[in-house]
Amino acid sequence: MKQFLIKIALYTAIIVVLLVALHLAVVSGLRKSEFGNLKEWREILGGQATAKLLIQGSSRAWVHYDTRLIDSLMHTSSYNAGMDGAPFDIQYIRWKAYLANHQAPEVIFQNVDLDLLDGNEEVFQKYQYLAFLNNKAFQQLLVEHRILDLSDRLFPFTSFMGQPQAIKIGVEAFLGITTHPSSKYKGFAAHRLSWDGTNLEILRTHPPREWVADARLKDLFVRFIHECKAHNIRLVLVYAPVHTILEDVVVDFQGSRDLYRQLAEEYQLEYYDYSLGDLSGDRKNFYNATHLNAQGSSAFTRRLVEDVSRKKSIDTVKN
Amino acid sequence: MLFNSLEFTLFLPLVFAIYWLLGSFTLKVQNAWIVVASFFFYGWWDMRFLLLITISIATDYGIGRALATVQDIQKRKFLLYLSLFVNLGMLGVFKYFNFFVESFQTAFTLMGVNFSGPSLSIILPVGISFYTFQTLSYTIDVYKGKIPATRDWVAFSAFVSFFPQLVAGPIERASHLLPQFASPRKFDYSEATDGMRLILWGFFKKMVVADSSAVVVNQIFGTYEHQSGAVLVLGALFFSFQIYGDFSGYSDIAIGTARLFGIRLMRNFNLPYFSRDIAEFWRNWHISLTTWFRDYVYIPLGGSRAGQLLTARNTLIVFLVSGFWHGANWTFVLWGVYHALLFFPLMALKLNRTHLERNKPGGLLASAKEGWKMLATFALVAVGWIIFRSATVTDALHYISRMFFVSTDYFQFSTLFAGATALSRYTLFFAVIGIVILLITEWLQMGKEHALAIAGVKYRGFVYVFLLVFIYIAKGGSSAFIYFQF
Repeated sequence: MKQFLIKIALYTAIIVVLLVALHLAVVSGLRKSEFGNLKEWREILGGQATAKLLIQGSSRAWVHYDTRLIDSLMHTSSYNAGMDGAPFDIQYIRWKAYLANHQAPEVIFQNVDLDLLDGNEEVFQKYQYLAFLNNKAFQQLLVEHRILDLSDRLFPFTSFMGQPQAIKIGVEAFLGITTHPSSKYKGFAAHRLSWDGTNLEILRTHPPREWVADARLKDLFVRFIHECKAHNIRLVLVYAPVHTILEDVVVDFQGSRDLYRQLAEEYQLEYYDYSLGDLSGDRKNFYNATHLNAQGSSAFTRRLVEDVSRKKSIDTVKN
Repeated sequence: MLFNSLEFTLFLPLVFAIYWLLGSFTLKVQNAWIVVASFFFYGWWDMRFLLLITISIATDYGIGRALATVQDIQKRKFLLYLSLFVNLGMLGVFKYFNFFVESFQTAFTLMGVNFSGPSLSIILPVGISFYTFQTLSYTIDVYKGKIPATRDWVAFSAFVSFFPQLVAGPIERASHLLPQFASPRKFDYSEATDGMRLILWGFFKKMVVADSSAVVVNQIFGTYEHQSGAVLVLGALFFSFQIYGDFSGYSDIAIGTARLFGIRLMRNFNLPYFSRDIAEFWRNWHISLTTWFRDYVYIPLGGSRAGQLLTARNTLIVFLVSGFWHGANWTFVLWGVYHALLFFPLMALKLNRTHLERNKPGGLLASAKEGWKMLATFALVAVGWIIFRSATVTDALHYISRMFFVSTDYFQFSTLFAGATALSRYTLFFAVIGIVILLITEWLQMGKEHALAIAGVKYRGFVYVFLLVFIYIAKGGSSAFIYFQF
């Protein structure tokens, strides 16, 4: 028995040492890398994202809201905090992290859409959070919103298990091979792509996706609204354009639009609903059913800036 | 709790430590600890499950004791039927009730009759198909006089509830497992280290091969109407390895864990994908279940002793029941029928007992003839897995027909990687690498007790460390074991 236990202890020690070394290398590399959302996290947590106008949302935020155009047309400084695969709880974490390291912005463009209040438990690209756990306040946020689980806290060196992409990116940056330089400008990058209908065909033939607002996320969103009011922030809700085909593949798409209108009315917020506007019928503006390409995002940003500047808060904006 | 979970990582060392500490007291106390730990393990899923397993244990222990004292044939038969009624009744209610009601509804609707039956809103207890068969084997063997009824209810409870094999097998026989709980166990270093090797290999098969393949399979089966024929072939291949990695991986972990406690469980898989015909495949796939059906269904029906027609009938019944055991869906029944149809030609030509030895043919590689046989057998099995995996019979037939329909875009793979549901190239890469490592290792180790039986081999430590690090990096997406749903 003694020999067995010694052997187990020995192998455990070897593995733990290897995993700790790998973990440290990966974390160190990810902190330098610009892959995905890492650059923006570094900027936000490092207080380098000062802006008077903050854009929040998911991937639809960072590909739709052109910060260069907003800066030049509105004569302000903006920052796009949109991130891939982020329902509102993740966006809220980013918002709190921003607030902890910057002065509150004057305006927030909050992108609202089908996925904002989607209570999906899965954490998308978890590695982006694991890279910055040295920031204790940020770590606490992650624990509060259940991004970090018990094994992340008890055995942090196991956090990158099953994430080969994160390990690769981290090790590449650690070894100085590449940091995957980002082409984003203050969090925004246009997608110069044309329509890819593959995903849509899949959506068509599956049971229609049902839109449902998760109660917990809705409560969090209301909390966010109150926090903006407390900071005297002009919160503007924006439903960016989607392709009209989504009306066929999403059950109660209208429900999502109605909910945000109700919230805007209840809390007296500006609400700009471009979801099924004049950009929505033309595939030339999209690279898939829910994301505008460079042409579309440019047209959308200009339209939004014009309407917001004139405080023209109405429903679907037409020609 | 799942084997691949933080809870189990904490549970196992604690149970192991206390088990061997208690070993210095009495055997009964040690067995009682096994029962406590196993009930805790099972109750972790849902406390209500404990009531059912307690009923199963109490019923069959009591019936066993009664059979030991009752000599009257009619009374003995009654006791046996009582055991069958309770165990199969529980299985029937929890697993098949809604299926039968829905099937009757469909049948009546087709005949133009309106029939609305009751439906039960009940959860399927994990592992019920496994432990009910295990306890039934006890009462049947006691009834037949093959084994004496046990007086030791603690050992019997440990036999039924033993946590490593409780929820997904191997389905043990009382004649093999019960005596082990009735005898003192002594810690054996080589058994324990071999057990750890089995656990490691099981985790590799489950967490790399099965879980990575599962991501590919879910993508393909979920969108099969939009995938090319070649992609559908890939789907069948990956599912073949997903189910093998998942189920045999679980079995390896179960067997390895049992060895840590000085208990030997039966081998459940013996390199089935290197089989040269369907009969050999069924001798080496889910061995504990197939031998159970052979001993308790096939042989009592007459086996192969009553002429070709009756042998074919008995074979068909076994395959039907075996398919049905897997789940309450017509796809499993069709899968059983499919394998029966593959088996019949071998039986008719008396070729079903050709390949009884499981040793590697001479040389590093198989001969062209053997290789061809293995590939053909694997291909036939893979087609069967499509039926097994599909949600409905219509989906299965549609998938298979699309797979064989050759069109100009037959080799179109881009649909796998396009759109928001695109498959990760990392996942595909590790699934393929995992399968290659699995096949090479199992081929080279054919004839050994298991694939990682490398005790005494130089530098074996590097193999362990490599596998652990590989599992760490390549661990696939999903977690639960497929066979838990059975």
